[in-house]
Amino acid sequence: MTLAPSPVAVTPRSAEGCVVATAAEVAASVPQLELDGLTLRFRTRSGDVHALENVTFSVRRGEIVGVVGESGSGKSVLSLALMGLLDTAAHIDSGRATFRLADGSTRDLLRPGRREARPPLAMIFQSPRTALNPIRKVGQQLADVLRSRESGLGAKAAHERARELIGRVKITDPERRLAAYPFEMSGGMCQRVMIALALACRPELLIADEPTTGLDVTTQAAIMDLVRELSHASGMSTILITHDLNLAAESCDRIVVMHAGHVVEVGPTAAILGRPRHPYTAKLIATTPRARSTLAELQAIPGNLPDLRAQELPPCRFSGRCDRLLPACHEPPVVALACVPGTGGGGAASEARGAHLVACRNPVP
Amino acid sequence: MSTAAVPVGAAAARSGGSETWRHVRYVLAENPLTFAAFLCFLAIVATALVGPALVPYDPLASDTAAALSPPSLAHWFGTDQLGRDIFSRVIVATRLDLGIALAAVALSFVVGSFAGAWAGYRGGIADKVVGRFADTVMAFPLFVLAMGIVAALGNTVQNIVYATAVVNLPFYIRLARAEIVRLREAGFVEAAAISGNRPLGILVRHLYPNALPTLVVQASLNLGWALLNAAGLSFIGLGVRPPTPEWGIMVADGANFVVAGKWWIAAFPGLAIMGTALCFNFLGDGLRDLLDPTRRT
Amino acid sequence: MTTPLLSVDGLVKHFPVGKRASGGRSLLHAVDDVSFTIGEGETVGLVGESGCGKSTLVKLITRLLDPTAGEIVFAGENVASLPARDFARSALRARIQKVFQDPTDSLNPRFTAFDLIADPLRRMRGLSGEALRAGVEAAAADVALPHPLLTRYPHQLSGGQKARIGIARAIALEPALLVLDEPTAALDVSVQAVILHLLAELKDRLGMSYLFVSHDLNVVRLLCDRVLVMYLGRIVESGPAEEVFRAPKHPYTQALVAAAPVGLDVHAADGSGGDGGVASARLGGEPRSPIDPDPACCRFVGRCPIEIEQCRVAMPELLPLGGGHRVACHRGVSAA
Repeated sequence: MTLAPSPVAVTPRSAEGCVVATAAEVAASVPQLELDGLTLRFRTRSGDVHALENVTFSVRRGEIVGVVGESGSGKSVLSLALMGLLDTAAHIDSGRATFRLADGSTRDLLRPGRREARPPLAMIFQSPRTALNPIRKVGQQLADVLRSRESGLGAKAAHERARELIGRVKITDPERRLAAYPFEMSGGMCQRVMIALALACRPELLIADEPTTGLDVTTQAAIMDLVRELSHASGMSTILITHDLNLAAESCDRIVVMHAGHVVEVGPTAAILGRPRHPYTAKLIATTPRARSTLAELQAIPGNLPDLRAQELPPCRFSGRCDRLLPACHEPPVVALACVPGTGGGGAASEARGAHLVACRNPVP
Repeated sequence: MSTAAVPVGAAAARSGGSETWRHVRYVLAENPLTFAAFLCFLAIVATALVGPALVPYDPLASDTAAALSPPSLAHWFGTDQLGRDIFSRVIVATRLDLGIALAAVALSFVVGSFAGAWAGYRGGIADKVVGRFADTVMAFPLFVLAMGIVAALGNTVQNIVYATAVVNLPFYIRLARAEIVRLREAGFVEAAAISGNRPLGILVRHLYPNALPTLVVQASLNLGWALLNAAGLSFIGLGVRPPTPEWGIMVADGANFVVAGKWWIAAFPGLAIMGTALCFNFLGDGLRDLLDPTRRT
Repeated sequence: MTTPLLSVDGLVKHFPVGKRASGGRSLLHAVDDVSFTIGEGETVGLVGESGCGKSTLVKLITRLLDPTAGEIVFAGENVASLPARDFARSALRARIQKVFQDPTDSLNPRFTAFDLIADPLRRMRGLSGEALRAGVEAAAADVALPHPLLTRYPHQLSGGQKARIGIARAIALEPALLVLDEPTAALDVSVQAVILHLLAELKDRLGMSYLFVSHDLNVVRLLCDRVLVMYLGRIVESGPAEEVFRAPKHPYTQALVAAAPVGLDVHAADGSGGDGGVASARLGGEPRSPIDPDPACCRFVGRCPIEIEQCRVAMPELLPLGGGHRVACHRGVSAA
């Protein structure tokens, strides 16, 4: 069977170019990325869209964290915010995204500095064929990225490095593929090329935004194997954004569940899926077809996402759809993440160490 | 079989009308340039319709005493070499020029877009024949071709319209063909076939209306070009004959006097041509917004 | 034994592509020797990955394409003999309908929801006026689409609402066979649950048969009585859905089942988790070319983990294993 990732102990192994965590760091479980209270809105002509509110979670070095939720939950906005790819309509009202590099220095991803000081993050996208430039050969695109990061790199050396990267993502017949255009390659192969492009940036954190949507199921499995393998081999941590709970469950050490811009639950995969505490998480699991479920067991989630443009959004954005509603759920302030009893102390450090947190006034027992 | 080209449901008919009007108001409010162009267009059409009845002077009446006088309170645009009031002539010419441009573009649009759409949908021999015809027309310098057609058919206003229409055909053929080829792979075309539409029905009811917005934008840009074409043909002596007021021949007449410092004879008709063509161009974008349902909120 | 609603026998579709060096056209074998049946009220699933010929097979069955060879017998008539371009005029057109995958692409952006549902009623039944409105509103009610939404255009509607319009349009003519081409692939998982329930309920109420095409094995398992597995134009395995997924016999089906994510079951709250039940071996390599394939060589050769000499010498036939389960593999009853 596929690898069963351990939620706590990560054994970093070194690979070229990627400095891995020291044993002390792992022991202290100092998180590599700490998101604290990120609140973001988009200014549009028809009002402000409150896309994210008080988003808090962390990622440790070498682990794979899944961010799951339906469309409109804010997962993609979150990834763009971390990468600094938001457009001018986005306003970050508050929050920090503290990124600890391998050399110990820290950076706030939300307030990027000069170009040279850019933190080592990379991202891969959905629809790989459209994410690649259709009129440039694959080898040229790889060389472009390599040469933009290392100004002195010559064409021949770049080509060599490109070939080595293609090999790392397990593409056979590398010379032929380097000379090919994206339209000549299958979807799965294009996604591997995109992973290679991401690796060219020597990332310490990889953000994968729905990397397997639209791919065949066997290709999907192969791509996820590759991502897991690269992650474990080089100590690169991964944020996997997906709407497919089954996929997240197979690959991720920990899961962050998002709903309408809020983080509603965070914790180790086994805990979240085995015993979900937030009503939304429970409903999301109940609505996902599984190998052993029947149609009668499949339950829909009632209601719709709240309109994020509303002036007065309720403190709990799931309250319109929840069947465990209490009068207290309508009271401000916005519900914060709190530890599920018995899984650890409070605070971000314990979350990083694998505590199970839920933002709910009436969690599922 | 229903005869409506773009059917509107019975239940939607009443609300559809008011919704269209609301959409029109929205587009015009959002885009001041379109609104200005639209007003200009209305002004031009109004001028064409009622202008000749309201002009101060008879456009054909000559008054040699007042010949070549610059713009003044009596003659807003001055007078030409025969003493005719240029303002009146420019206003009266609007009807003719607008008429020629609209007729040529309408003819070109209808024939060209249908031919191109059919060629794009059928493919095969039809496509090749229509394509080669379009290529042949485009191989000529278009103005020279227009000249040739008018010279061959005879020097009348009608023939200017035909010549301009023929010369413009390839643009519509190619554009319609490209749009249809792009659209015919869409899922809704397959759905239309499964719903029982026959091939011609799919083309007319489903594909062509989706190609319309692009075609209409092209048509409005074309209006400006057709106007210039007609004016150009008249400028070189083909088509409209003096003393009929027409912007092109007025510019031709006035060109002789520019060097002598009598700029107003050519300038005002020229400005009329320029202003009208510009208005048509700006209107094109606005028309696309009006016709494209995906822009509706 | 009642006659099946749809009976496909030896269906073949080849597309000419380019010229061979030795002269003659090269042929792309999109569908080769496909035979199966769909009974009344039965839901048959069709699974397979991109390039397996699913879309071509669907176009053949919905009569948008003419087969190169083979028979399609629907309700006792051989519809394959009627050319596709004349099929729109036939009375049988109304009895085979399709629900599309992408609701955005399959709805004409210039038609309102009303027009979209009304189109088949206008074309095939010639309805207009009050009768038309009644028909449209009935179809909308069947899919729980509120009447006020009928005046809207597709871009003003949500994914779930557009999916409902697609279904309403397909059932408006009360078809006997409904082909569903990945109807929930473009939808959110919570909307998917609602639509799946709707489809199940409609099937029972209107007595339709379904051909359910999907790449999501978990969804196919939910709805389908039987399943067909396609690979490079041929059916490699068929049988009762539960059995084919629980104990697949063809190595390709085994790879599909192994690759399907089962994370939720691994962590199941009821402790029923396992590891999927089938040994996983990731399917490497790329599929063979469908152009001019060797007729005496199994198409899975080169990627198959259990291939033998025989596989390169003779094309395996779809043979019964008992209980309606068939597999096309020389290793036949080889277990996982």
